[in-house]
Amino acid sequence: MSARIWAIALNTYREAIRQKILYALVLFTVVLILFSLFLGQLTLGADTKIIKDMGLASIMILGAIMSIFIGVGLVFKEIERKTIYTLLSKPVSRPEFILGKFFGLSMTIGLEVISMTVLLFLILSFYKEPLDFNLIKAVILIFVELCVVTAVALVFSSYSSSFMSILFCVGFLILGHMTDDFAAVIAPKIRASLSQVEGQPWDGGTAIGYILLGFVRAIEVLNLDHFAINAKVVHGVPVTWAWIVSSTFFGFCWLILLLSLAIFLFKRKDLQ
Amino acid sequence: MKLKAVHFENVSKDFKTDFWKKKVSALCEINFSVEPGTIFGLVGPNGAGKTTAIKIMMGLIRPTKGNVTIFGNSVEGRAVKRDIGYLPENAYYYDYLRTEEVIDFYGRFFGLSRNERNKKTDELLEQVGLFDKKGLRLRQFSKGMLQRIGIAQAIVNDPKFVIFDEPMSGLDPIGRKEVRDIILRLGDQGKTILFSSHILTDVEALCDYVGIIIKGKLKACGPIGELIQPRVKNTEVIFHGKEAVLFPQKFEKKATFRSSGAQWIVDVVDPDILEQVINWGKSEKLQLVAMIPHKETLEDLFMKQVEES
Repeated sequence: MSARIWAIALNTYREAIRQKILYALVLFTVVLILFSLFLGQLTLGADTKIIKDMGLASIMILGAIMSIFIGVGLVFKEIERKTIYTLLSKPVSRPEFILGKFFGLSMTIGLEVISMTVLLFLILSFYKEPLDFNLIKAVILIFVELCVVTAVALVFSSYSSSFMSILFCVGFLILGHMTDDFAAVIAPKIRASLSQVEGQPWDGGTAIGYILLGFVRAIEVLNLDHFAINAKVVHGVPVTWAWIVSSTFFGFCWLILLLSLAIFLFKRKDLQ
Repeated sequence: MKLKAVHFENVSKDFKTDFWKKKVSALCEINFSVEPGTIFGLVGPNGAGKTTAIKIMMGLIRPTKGNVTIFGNSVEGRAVKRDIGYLPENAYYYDYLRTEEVIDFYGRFFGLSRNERNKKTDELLEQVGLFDKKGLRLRQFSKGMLQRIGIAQAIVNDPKFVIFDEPMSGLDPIGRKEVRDIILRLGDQGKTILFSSHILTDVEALCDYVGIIIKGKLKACGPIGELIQPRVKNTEVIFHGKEAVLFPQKFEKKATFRSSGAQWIVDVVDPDILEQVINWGKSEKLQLVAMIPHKETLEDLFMKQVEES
């Protein structure tokens, strides 16, 4: 990482950790994880499962809130507060600015994920639970997913207002976790109806059908369930490292695509 | 041939205020250059296009037409910014940073080592009078202090060319004087300085060259001594004496006459009648207190350009 990208990343990290709201969120997550202790007491024999499940969910929720709410302001707020003028008057290219912002927030989220994971392991150690490396696998994929969400927020932040960006990001996250259901329920129906018109002359209905099919395929690519292995990990279903590596690479491809888009949009922007 | 510090060649900029609305021209066919080692003042009313011109220099916005170079290099590149310092209008900074962190942060972009940054931080804070404010967060700063930290960040790289956008805006007289002194000090160090302002007295006092922008067009540009007529525009003759005096009609249209307490002030526009006015004072037994010749000021030139446009 170049010194300039690192300087921007460090400043973004510094800004994030100096926000009081962050501490409120972290406290909320700690309370949520501790609440799992109470819930665990209510379930016979499944106490550690509840703790693991709630712990991973809390890490994901806090991370998603940080990715979206801080992420959408990464570029937009710099323009709104005019701090970007002094920054871009230094020998910093616009791609370096975008990458610095991305790495800065990812670092902050990484710190949140690590500290909450340590807390989760500490709680589990009270229950004499042996160290479960599968939990680490789930945490790795949670972090990769949060990086992707941060990159999505960065794309929207490069050209849209914060409110719209938040809506788009939440939409992306929800849609991304519904693709399996979507593909299982709707896609076969569309494919079935299209198979009936295959080979027949084109008309308006056929065209719409093929457009819908394209849309379904696009949404299938957006599948964020590749990262969602929490349920498997909690219930002791083995998850291979091959899956972790391939899902990380899937996330990496998304990151390249999204960051390139953010850079493209930001390079064209006039900073009036 | 000596490279110009900045060179504008047929630069125009149009903005679209809304998707459906027509384009608004912010700059129209601007041509000017700034010689290295000079202080150049860009003046104009609010919305004239001064900040747009400066933002184009900084590569923050792209011209619709034309070309801008700094020391012969395109403003698009990263390398050109090694030689530039910039203070934006109403500059905002990361208010969660401490005084020394601001300088350290901006110093990182110029490849300065930690030791160099620490040394530079002390040096610059001393220079802008903020050394005793170390440890304070920027959100605790006054407007004048923010302007001074802004100047410090602008010169962190010891630039050859410094651009200040409205550096005196919103400052009290003490703050204005401090900023003026800093600009003069930088000028003495041989740096090229371009600054925009609508405080014309400051521009006149500081600049070697001036450019007047009105409604996006460069109306006048050149050495300040050449743009402003060196001749005496009018002479104020002040007499002291009697309670009632009758000013001769023959001087009408060539001089104006008014009283202020026991003082009689004659504003002589036609230099040919100056001696006659003094003689008239003597004949009326008035005591000649002062004769003040007034030359054309930048404000006169500016107002003339505004009226013409």
